Amino acid sequence: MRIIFNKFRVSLFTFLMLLVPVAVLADIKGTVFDENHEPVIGASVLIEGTTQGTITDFDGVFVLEVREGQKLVISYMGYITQTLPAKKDMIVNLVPDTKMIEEVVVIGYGASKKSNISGSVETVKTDELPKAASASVGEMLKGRTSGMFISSSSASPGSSQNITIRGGLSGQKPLIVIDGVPQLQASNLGSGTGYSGTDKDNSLMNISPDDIESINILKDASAASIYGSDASGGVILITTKRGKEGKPEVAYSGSVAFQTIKDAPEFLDAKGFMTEQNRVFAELNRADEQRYTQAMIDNFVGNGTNWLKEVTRTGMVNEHNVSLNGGSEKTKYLMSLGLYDHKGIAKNNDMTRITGRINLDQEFGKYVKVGVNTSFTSLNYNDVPLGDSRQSDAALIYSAMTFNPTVPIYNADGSYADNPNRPNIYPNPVSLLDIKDQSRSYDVFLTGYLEIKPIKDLTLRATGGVDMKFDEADQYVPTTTLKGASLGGQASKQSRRTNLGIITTTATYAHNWDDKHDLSVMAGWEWKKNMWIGHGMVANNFPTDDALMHNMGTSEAENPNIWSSKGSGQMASFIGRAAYTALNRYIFTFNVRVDGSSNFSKKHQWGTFPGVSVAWRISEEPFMREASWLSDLKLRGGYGQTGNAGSLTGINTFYGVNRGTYVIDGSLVNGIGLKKLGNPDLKWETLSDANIALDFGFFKGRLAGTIEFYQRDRSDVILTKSLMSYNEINTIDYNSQEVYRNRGMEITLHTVNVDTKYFGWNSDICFSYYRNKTITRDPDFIPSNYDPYIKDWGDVYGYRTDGIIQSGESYSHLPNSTAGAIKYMDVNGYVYEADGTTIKRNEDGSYMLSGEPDGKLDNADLVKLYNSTPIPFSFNNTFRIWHFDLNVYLYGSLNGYKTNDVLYQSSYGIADLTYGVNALTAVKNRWTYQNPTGTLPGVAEANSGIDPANSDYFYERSWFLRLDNISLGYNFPTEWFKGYVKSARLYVAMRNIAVITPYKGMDPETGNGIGAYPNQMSGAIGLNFKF
Amino acid sequence: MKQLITHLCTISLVASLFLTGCQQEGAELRPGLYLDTEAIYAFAGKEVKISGQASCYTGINSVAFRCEKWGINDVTDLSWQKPVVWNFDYTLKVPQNADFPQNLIITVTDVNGSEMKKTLRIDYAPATTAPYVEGLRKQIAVEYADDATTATSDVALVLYGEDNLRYAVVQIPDLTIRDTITLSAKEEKLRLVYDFAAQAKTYPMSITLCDQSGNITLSESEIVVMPKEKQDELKDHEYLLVFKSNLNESDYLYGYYQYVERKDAFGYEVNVYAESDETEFFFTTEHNTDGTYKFGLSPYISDRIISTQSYDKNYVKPFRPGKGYWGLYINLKDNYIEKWEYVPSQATTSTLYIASDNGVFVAGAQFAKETSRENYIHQFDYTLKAVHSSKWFLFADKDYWGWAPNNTFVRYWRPWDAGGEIGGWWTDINSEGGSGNLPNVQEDTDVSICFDTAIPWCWIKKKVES
Repeated sequence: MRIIFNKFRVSLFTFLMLLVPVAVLADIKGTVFDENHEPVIGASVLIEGTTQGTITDFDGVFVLEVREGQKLVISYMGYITQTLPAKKDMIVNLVPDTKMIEEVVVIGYGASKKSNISGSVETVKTDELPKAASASVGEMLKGRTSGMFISSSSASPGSSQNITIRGGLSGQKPLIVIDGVPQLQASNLGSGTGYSGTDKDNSLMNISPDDIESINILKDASAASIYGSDASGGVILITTKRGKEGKPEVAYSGSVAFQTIKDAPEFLDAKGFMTEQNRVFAELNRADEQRYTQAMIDNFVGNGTNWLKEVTRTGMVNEHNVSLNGGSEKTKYLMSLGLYDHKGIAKNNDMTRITGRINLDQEFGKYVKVGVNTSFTSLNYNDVPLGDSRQSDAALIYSAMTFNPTVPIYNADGSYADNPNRPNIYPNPVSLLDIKDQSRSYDVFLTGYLEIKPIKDLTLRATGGVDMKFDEADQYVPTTTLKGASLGGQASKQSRRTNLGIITTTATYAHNWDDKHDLSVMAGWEWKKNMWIGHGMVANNFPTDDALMHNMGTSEAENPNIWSSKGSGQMASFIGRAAYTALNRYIFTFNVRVDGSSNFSKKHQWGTFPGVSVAWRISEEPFMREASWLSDLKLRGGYGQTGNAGSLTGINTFYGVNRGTYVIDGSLVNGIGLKKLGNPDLKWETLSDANIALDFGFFKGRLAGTIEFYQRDRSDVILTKSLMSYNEINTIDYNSQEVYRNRGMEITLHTVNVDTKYFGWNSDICFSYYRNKTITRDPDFIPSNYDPYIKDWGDVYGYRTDGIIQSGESYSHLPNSTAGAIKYMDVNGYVYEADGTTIKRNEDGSYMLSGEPDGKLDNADLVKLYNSTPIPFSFNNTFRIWHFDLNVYLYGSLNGYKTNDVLYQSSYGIADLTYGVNALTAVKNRWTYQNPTGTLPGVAEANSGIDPANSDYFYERSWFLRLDNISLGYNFPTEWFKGYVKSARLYVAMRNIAVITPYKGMDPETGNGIGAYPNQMSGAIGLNFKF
Repeated sequence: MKQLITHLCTISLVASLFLTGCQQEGAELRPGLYLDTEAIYAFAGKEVKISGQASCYTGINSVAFRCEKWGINDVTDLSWQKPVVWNFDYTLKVPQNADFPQNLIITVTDVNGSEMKKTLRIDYAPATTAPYVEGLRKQIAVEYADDATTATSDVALVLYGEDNLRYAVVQIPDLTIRDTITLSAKEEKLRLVYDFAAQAKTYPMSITLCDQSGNITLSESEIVVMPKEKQDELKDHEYLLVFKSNLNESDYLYGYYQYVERKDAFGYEVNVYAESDETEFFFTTEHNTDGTYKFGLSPYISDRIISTQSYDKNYVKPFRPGKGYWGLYINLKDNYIEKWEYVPSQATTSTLYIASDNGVFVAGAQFAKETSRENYIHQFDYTLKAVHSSKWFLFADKDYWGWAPNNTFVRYWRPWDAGGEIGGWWTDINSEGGSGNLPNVQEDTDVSICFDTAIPWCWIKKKVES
């Protein structure tokens, strides 16, 4: 029996074992990716419940022997740990743990964890910036950061960006620092002739956006004061990409974009032009001068010559960047090469940029590290004349918009056709394409650092850098153009070299006591010197156009314009910072910088710029830890001072050597004359900032943001005072008692709206509101109704208008205005003394106003019309749908008033139609006796003696919402490439798609007069891949 | 991936079909043609200008002007430019043997071959502008040498007509000359070569000109036979002098010849005063004439301004600007005198005083007051002493030497020089400068010293017993 039972037990056990699935040991292979679908190196892969595991290799691959049914726990610093069932060929996509990321932020002369920052520092995610058809980082940053307002001077290739941080109260551009070295900012090198292209971007254009790792904006003085007198306009810190440990990785990104004109104003076609010219002659009682018979107009077929079309084309942008990075534990390198080629929508207008970079970091043991960053940029521009000059100086776009459409491009003999209505005054627009305007800029930016850690927690670092720029600008205006013919050809050659050298040494002690106390103390010294030297020549009267500007010696001009200049400046500085964080929640930071500059007066040689900020991480308080819905709450405030060294030439009396300025015996002679009276008491301006902010995050970062309030005061403002006129020089610079104040608020929100495996949606919202005011004046200031003591800089003053004067109406305060002229309103008058001519004054010296109309239109009638301070905002949305990504970016301004310059110029200058100058189609709706309901003024307005630009007549609301970028990308599954390609992304993008605005001019943002470079819409296709 | 590429290609194909399938606006429309005339009226040989404008949407390939009967086939090829608007001024040359009426067909062709044609009818109409003679002056000088017995004219004329010319008739009645010359073209040359007796005489002459359209023009002139003019070599003189021919030089001790300042090469300028419409001015470079006038305006051979001749005054015209103040500019090289109304800027009608060391007027600080004044001309009546130590004199608006600074003392002076006559008078407010020279006299002489502050100029005239 026993034997039977034993056999039964064995049989039962065997049977049961057969029922239980056999736990087969098998090798499981998988790949771990991050949120960008890049392989994660060194991720931990553990079998759940065991200590068995492995880590991913360079390719993110792991192989682990597991039993069926077991689960794997995959974890990596900064990412949410995942537990997944083991299976063959696993693909694991890690998701960032926003709570865990301790993002390191560059703050100037060092870095800090984002959580420990107490000043106003904003980080821009460069991977979300729209790169297609954007040459400059400045262009990409538009609307991406609250408090930073960027506008383009023009829509032409390579045009400069006007960057202001928090209202631009200082009047200075932000300091741009690349890899810890301030960048040389040189002014444009002009041609010196009557024609010039667009203002060039001389700063951010020199760096390829593809080379940028991160951008941090230091907005308030508590953060920026470490840069002292150069930082009054804020600081933009750019960190370039560096090599990474691992196998060499080649990355390529490229795109092709096409651009077309958007929002070009509508000018009269040939028939409309002839008809309206005849009408204007009749309205001016000059019907006998009409040039076009009705038969001529009726027989016309077509629209006439479309000059804008003749001088423009479809623009094209070609961009290619390739980089190689890699390295070992001790050596890391990055090399990149980039090409950006932009053919603008104006013919002959293009820009080519070639950039190259080598970043190298080398560690020698544990204690020594050196690095070298070198970059080279070559910029070549072919420009076309731009601007809104009139008549013989008219530039390309202006000419194309206004030239007579009833004229062909060429005469029968091949020469350029002229405007028959007024010959030899207006240049043929196509002839202006013959102008050769070429400029080149070469920039070598070389920095190196040596870092030594002699003892634990102490880092000694020395950085040296040099930025060398060489600019050349050549121009030739041939005799085939109107201006060139009058000058016998005109040539210009300009050249300039600017250098900046800088040495910085710092010692930083950083220690953390048991995660309770974190102290960082930095002290340093910096010296920098900049130098510039340049020369140029403009000559005319050449025997032939063929040599262009390459044979200046053949000029027959008696007195060619020759100039040369040289200058230098230097600064020595002491810098210091102390940052203390207690218990991970109480943060205190103190910065100070002492600058000694050759620009400062001897009495004020050294300037001290302190900054202090404190922060309280409320979310780290024990009583807040229970609130799991709260991921971050930090209250911070700061105060600091920066200065404005600028170009304080006003401290020195100097003489100028001038050409052809002095008259002796009736002839102009060269000579030396007093040019400037120096003021040895002149000192730098001071900007004082106060800032308070609340950083918050909810639901594990699903909703995060910042709300910030600030105030900035600018004092010791340098102004120019007039002296008695009998002085040889009758102006002098002085530090006034005027104080300017800027107050504002900024809101930044980041939301993770949806985050699933196959669909994600993030949004970023930025909002800024600020006002700039003058709050204190000099004692001798006399206020007026249009210039009050406390003045908002955004206020626009002018005359109010009330429509158009109708037939039979006349107004005593508008003696020269007849029917068809604008009806300016007489709203106020001055109070006079008994003599009837002397105006009474109030106690503060201002003129006394009666509050009643007085039958005169004068300054008493000026009123505040609008406030045009913009209220910028932006709304960025990023979608992730399976392998697709979609970015939709909108930005705009909630406020704005702007003159519709195109309409103003066309309407106010309606009589120019008789000269053959074209006008907008809108002028058809001008007032005439036959069209008394016309909304635009008639020909009578030109005789009114009042400029409508000083009134509200042509002002329009210019708030806007621009759909700036839609890009759709597809990330190819890497398994398609069988390991040969790490990642690949194909995308299409459209820029500047649409704008919603009540403004009827060309564009609410960019230049808006006749002659402004038209805005463009771009469509691009691009490809990024890495292998 | 394959599917994605396929989709992209499909989209591109559809887009390209859409774009190329679009027709340009108005491509089906024929070109437009405007002509500024609906009909042409001409005569054989006439040139007629036809202006117009061609226009279209797509681009003009050519504009043609054709008249088969007259062999006209002028085509303007615009294929190199293809303009959408073309303005033209076409000159139709009517053949010499043209018959009328005819049709001129103007054709505009665009790049697609579409045409617009218009026909202009050409009808005959005679010329409406009379023919004329160019180069015929009111007086033609025919000179003869002193020992010559005949004087021969040689005048080259050009005859013009809108229509072809038919004939010209030259008549000199006093010589019973009536020559008929047959003409044919629109422009013809005519040379008048006739012999005259070598004696001063004037012969009226007429030329009758007729064209094919029957238009007739009569032109008249005078042939003035005269002794040969002698011309001085033209020089860029340092200055000129101007005088009034109706005044006697011998009546003046000073200022008869007024200084004319050199302004530029061969150009001189002066302000003068003509008392009446009959006041006559002559220019000269020398002080004295010997009874004949060396210079003046010659009305004959190119109206020479500077010449020497021994002609009778009747042949030499003075410059007669009319009553008033005048600015005169004379250019010797280009042979003209320009005049303009001169508005005095620093003239004064206030009392003037004369200062001198003559002893006659004053010594020391006292100045003599003017005797009378007419408008800007101040007169001082005095006795000029025969013997005096030095001879300077000047005019002033004060009667004493002491003057305050800053424009309170005005004096009129001229640069002192040994010659005594050269240079003009100046207005001055400071102590710089010279003075005029009093002329020497053998005996005490009663004179009137006149000063015209408008010009300014001074003259000393002997007082004549009335």
